[in-house]
Amino acid sequence: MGTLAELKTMSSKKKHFGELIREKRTVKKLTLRKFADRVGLSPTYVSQIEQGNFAPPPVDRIRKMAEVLEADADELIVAAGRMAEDVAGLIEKRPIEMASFLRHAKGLTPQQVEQLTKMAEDMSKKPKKD
Amino acid sequence: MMSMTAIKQPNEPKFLPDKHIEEHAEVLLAQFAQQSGEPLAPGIPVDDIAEVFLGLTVEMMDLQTLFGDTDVNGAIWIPQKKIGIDQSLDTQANKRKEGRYHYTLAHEIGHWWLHRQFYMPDTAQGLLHAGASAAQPTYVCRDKSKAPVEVQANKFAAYLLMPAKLVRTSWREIHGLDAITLDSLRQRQTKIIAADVLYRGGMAMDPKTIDNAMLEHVARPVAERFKVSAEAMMYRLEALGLLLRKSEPMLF
Repeated sequence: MGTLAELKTMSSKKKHFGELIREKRTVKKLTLRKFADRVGLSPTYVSQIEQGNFAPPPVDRIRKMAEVLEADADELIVAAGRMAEDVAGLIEKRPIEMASFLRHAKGLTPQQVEQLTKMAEDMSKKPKKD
Repeated sequence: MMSMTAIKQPNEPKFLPDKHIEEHAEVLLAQFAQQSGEPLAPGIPVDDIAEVFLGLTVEMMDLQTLFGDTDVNGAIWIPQKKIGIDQSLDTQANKRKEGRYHYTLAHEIGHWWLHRQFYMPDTAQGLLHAGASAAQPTYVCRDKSKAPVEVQANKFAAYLLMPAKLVRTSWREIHGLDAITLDSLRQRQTKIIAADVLYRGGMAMDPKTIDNAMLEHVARPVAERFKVSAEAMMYRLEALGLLLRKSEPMLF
């Protein structure tokens, strides 16, 4: 039944940052050396990341990778086990409210999160009354 | 009953005529050019041929440590469709290694093109042996190996990177219509060697090194167009009869 699908999701969740980069690079038909050159890293360094032997690069370099691969920077940053600077800043600024907010949102479906995001967008557009 | 052997018994060709190897390389180039929609030009894009056209994975690795041998430049895992290039050939760390990098990659492509049929796992049994074959490359490629398959892959690399027609055209544009003999370079020997010593940052001064340095000096501008080493181009030009170590014997 659902076991195979579950297994697939599990294994895809376990895909490390380097595998994700290689997959996206291959889809873009970018060779290792061309990609390394465009993101300003050595082919050896990029290759070691792809093989999972080196940790992902700093966030600014991940952003550059996303730009070259025309991929979502947040997706890559999360895959790298990092947090975008602005997100980290938000939590740091209001640790109690934000942590509680995220904990409550944890069990929501993607559609519900989207709905909530839309609401937050609308609310932040409206002039704040205090 | 199905055989329990996952990897077919190696039955590598002991001998392949050069003409056949050249034809194999030309077929690959023609197929690549057709798919990319661009005419072939000097500086054959071997990365694109390996990774995009053939779908092979290229990885930079510390092969020399892995195999405890500083002569190892490349390796190929045929069932995994994976090529490893030694990290000493990283072209960003050392731009001058570009020719060696291209040659090594073209050599591994040669193994894939000429020899993969002898090593592709039996798909029905492949998984059983995936563990064992994953660790061990099909070929570990060392400098100056004399094994027939290695010699074949080397020749294939030369034909792939330096197709006869393109080399002849470049030669005409750079050096004119005629072949160049070592004898004709003798009068400029001092000048050529002085320039080459500077380029290389020193060299041995035995007759063979000096002869090679003079021939490489002539090969270098052609080599630069094809993004190969001057040494590789020298051998190719000799094979094409454009560089001659010995003058044609005179009648009188």
